[in-house]
Amino acid sequence: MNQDSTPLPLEQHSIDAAVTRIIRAKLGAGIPLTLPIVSNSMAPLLVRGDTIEVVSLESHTPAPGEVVIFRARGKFFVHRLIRMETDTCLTRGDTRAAPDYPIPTVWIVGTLRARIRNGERLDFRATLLSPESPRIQQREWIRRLRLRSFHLLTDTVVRACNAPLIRSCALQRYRSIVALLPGRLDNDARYSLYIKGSVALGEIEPGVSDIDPLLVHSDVEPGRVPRLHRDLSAALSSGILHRRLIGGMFICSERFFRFYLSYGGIRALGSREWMHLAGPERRTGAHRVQEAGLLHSLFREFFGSYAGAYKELCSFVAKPRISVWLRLERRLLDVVAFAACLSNPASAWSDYTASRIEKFNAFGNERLSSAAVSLQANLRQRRTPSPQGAVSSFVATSTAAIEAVLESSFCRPFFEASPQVPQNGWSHLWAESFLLRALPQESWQAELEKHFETPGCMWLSPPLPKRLSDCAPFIRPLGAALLGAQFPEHRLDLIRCECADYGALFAASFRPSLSSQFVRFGAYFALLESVLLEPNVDPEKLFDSSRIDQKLREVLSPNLERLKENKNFGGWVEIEKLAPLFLQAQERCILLLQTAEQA
Amino acid sequence: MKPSPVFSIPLSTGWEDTGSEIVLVSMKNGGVSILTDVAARIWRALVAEKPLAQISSDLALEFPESAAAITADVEEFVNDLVREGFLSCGVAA
Repeated sequence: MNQDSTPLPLEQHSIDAAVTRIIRAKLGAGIPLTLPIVSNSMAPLLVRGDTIEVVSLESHTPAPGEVVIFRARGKFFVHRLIRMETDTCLTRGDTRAAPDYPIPTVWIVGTLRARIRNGERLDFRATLLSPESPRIQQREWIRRLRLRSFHLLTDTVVRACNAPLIRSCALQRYRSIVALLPGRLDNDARYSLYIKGSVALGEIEPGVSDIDPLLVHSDVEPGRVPRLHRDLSAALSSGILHRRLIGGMFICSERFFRFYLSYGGIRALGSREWMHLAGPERRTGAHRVQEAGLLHSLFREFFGSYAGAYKELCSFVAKPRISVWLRLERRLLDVVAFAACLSNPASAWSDYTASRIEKFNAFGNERLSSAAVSLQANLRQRRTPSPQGAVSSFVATSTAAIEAVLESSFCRPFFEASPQVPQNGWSHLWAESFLLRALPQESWQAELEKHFETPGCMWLSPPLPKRLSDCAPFIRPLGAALLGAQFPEHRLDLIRCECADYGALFAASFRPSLSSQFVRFGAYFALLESVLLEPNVDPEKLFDSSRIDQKLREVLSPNLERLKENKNFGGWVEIEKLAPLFLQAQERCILLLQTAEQA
Repeated sequence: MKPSPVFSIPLSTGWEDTGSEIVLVSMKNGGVSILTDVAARIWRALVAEKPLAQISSDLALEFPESAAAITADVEEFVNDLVREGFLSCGVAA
């Protein structure tokens, strides 16, 4: 079941649609589907480690209360149906406060038949304990009580902190953290605690079970923040805190928070001034995670999922260790898995060309370079051709990954304005900054608050994307909200739409049937550059996905040449000069959008 | 003489050919696999009940520079499918 924070797409990916068709056909033929449960969103009915048996709906229309299974974003969701409408339905995990996004009814592949827990099979149809039973469901009054308690706790925390900037706080587990703050920062320091939108706030965010708070403090005496971080870490490990963090906690200064507001997500700011305090795993220095993230994005893209990482990891290392690792947080496992693949000489990937190593070197990052060299050494042992097309897939993927790294230098002129801010970031943040610069702050702030319905709560960036092509969600909340402000009639679609990349949103507006195609890295650049370079662009051609990639390559190629000449990328892109062009492109997009609508 | 293995698609495997790729679904564990390029071709050949030797030789004609490795690669790929439950393996009588 899903753990992502991004909303479900309006359209089912072609692979998911095919999987849905296949499973429905098999279920219709009487062959049940067996699925492992990987989250606790349906506890106590289903908990992690359970196995479920799914059967066909047998041509009946599922009724509210029934537990249904549907496929989206490459995963199976097992949630309870809470409302049926004509063509869509609303589902919700039993432990969730808010429902998932509406899905088309045709996405449902089947219904829950049985559960296997610790070897014991419970057939719901053969017992009185049907999934619809109130004994299994979490009762509505409990749900309401939980929500009410949350709001009470929020108020209590806000009052207890007595900080002028604190406008929202998180769950009870964070009360004790907040209580540690006074005295550990300077007396006159101000601080705010932000949390990203989540089910705890009653927002619609399927599959999310954690809350990552962000502590923003005013400039304090040097050394105070690391000390605070140590204190909090110690408090966590010593059990002073009532409850452990589920997610992670970020600590940063107001100055960096302003950069966040201007340029995007936390992950772009891998500075030592950003402190990351996690729950089950603790790390100091988000920059390390960031570097690892850059590296293993290649790995993740290739394997496509954590499941792939698990599988590959199991074949690389001793199994007893796996049993331990499998219990660790996915992020940690991901890094470990990547490292294992890099360091293990038995790794069998090849065909990684020397030119790509050069590109890594050009990035001026020692870890990237050394990892690339290790990777190359491993890849050389690979036999060709690969029946699974692995080599060609990896080459394409690595190319995209490298271009992503190179592209991040677009952000550099921004960051060079402040030497303290590191230079790694994503183009989406750059794009987002344009949006922010194009509109007055009041408009997007108001729009955000309207969207999230919780004044003061910022929707922070999600964790590192699982694949490079999933980078688009970085821009989703702001981009969608801003676009929604400009196009109120599309606001709902924009916000719902997973393809939040700015260009992809426009493209999807033209061609909804292809929206999933646009959820891909580079769509923003490709679209805007295409519009810039081709005033008489034919939307049919423009939105051809294969052409987008080609266009992206064309746009990037001169930059790659310049990159080789100048490792520091200084003055590579003059943002101020480009800004009017992008605004012009934006207007062009709007015109195209309006033309397409009229047509 | 060593009996040649015979591969078949079990009832628990569902698949669909989208033209550019093959989508495989295992009803045993919900596993999904996407086969592209050469892998998709091998699957189609398996569905057409071509023997592995013929599949390998067909590929070798197309990739003469890697002909020596193709047989092993194809066998490895098919064994992967068997291991993941997408294919079942028997022995010809």
